[in-house]
Amino acid sequence: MQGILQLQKLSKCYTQSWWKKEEKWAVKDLDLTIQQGESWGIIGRNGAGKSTLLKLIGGITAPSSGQIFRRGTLASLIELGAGFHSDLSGMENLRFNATLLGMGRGDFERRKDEIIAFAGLEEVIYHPIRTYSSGMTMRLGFSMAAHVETDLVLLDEVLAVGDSFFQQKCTDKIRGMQGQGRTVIVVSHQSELIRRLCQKAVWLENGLLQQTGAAPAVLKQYLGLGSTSKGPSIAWECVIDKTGFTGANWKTYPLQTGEKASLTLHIWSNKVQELDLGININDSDGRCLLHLSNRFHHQNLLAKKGQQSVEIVFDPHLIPGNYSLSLFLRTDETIQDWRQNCLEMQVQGLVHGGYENPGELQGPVLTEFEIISNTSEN
Amino acid sequence: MNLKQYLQMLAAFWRREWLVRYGQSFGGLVFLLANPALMLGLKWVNRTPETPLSSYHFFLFGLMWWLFLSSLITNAAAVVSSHADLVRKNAFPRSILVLLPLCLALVDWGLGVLLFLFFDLFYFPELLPQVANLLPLFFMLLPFAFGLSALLISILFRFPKLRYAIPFLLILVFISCQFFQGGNPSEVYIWLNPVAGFMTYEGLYLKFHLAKHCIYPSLPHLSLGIGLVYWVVGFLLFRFVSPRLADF
Repeated sequence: MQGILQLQKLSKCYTQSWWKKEEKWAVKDLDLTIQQGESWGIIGRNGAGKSTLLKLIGGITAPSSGQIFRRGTLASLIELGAGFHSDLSGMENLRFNATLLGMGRGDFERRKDEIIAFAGLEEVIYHPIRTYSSGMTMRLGFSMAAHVETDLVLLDEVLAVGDSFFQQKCTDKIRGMQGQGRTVIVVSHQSELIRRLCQKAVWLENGLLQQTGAAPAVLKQYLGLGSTSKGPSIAWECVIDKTGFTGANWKTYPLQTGEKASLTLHIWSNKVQELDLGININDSDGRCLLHLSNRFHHQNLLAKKGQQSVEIVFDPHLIPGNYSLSLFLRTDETIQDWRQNCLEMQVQGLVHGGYENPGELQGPVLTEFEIISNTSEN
Repeated sequence: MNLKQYLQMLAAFWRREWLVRYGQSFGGLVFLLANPALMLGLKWVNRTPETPLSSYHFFLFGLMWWLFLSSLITNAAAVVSSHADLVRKNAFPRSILVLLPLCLALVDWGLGVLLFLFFDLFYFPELLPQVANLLPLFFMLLPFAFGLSALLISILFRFPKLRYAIPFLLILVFISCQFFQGGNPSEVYIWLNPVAGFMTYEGLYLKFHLAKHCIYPSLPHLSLGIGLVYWVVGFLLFRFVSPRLADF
């Protein structure tokens, strides 16, 4: 056997009922080999067979034909919170899930505080799950599964839940898993997530393997296909290769209110072309608060053929809080690259005023102003 | 997965079910004990000098087994409905689903025995040694119970609406207690419910030494044989169905 996981002519067929032999092939003749430590994304439209493939790999369902060879231990997060019982407390559900995921009792007792702290549910952990919001349940589910140390981790759309900051926390945790040499397989509709997390990708369409290889190349093909039916086309003639805050933690930047932020972008272009560079600064609910663009400043940005870096310095003037940044590149009316919520920015400092809800009462953006008193003396 | 991990997982499933049913409220536990106590009370109230068997024997060789089997059947149906989502989203040894109703039924049965022993100490201390007769009966019934659990789990996962037939199945088991009142069950009936064979034989023998009057002198052997057939059929069916449980 080669690699940690090998699929040979793997097929899964569902029949509608036992008396009607109407067959639906969810996965058909799939061959794939995954090496230890690799990160793979599985992409495709709804009903393409992504989740079925993950269930087959996870041993949840049996293949109709073909073979699966797997080495090492496995944790599958097909659905966060699956197996949680609403009448039981968070702690009882954690205990059960730990056993289900193969974590020993002693190991769980040792790590339970860490698991609960990661989910941020210390105060409600002994309350029944039915009193939790769906986001809290998902956080608990992810936290449990993320702390089980297995060789292979399967994640099915698990990062589509929670607020953007918990998503960031989950992303960091997955990166940590990758750093430990664990193999991660992610199913997601978020191409940006696949791009950020995975080295390689598999594209499925109606159960058939369309393409496999390096994640950017597969995504390019996949998104190109999507453009024929709906949505804007992404040309990929010019891409943001790497981006981060200058001189800080590359992806997350702690910033004081009023302090300037500096962002470095490494751009790759296949020819000399004039670019529009746009940055959206979004709040935790995903609302765009500020938009920065060289076009608004009537500043030309000429991309050379090959790699180059661009630095953007800006003063966000935002009240303390957590914000995410989306970046895009455009040539004329063609979107070249789009990176949704690819960076996090933490603005720290004192809130002006002293109101309890400064965001609601004062608004999120601070601007410099001066009050000039023109009191005339009698 | 080694045996230790498997047993830990079985214990975790059992603990979860137990907590959901009885651990959340005092009422659940009271109901658990009230069920056998109420049936014993009814038998006690309806006793007549002509009744061929005492309440003691009714409880020990009739009601106890009815409780065990009815608990097994209802738990199998409950396990199917409460674990369907878990089966579709998680990988774990599917045989746990067969053993879980058995374990839950054993606990219900064990509580019934404890209640009976408590009752026994006060009213029939001289008959207490007869409790030992439960043990061979129990081991003879295990293959049937395992086979029945595997059959029910396999069928109910594939055809979940059949759970509405469970009350009829319970009536079938309950009728066996009527046979225990002194009659001989037919061979066909023992094929449907091998417990009836054990109960009739034990009841008649222990109370009246009437085993020689049974129409089948080898009644327990017939029941044991049929129980083994259930075990083999249940095992094979579950083995065939278990890899596809997540598809149903």
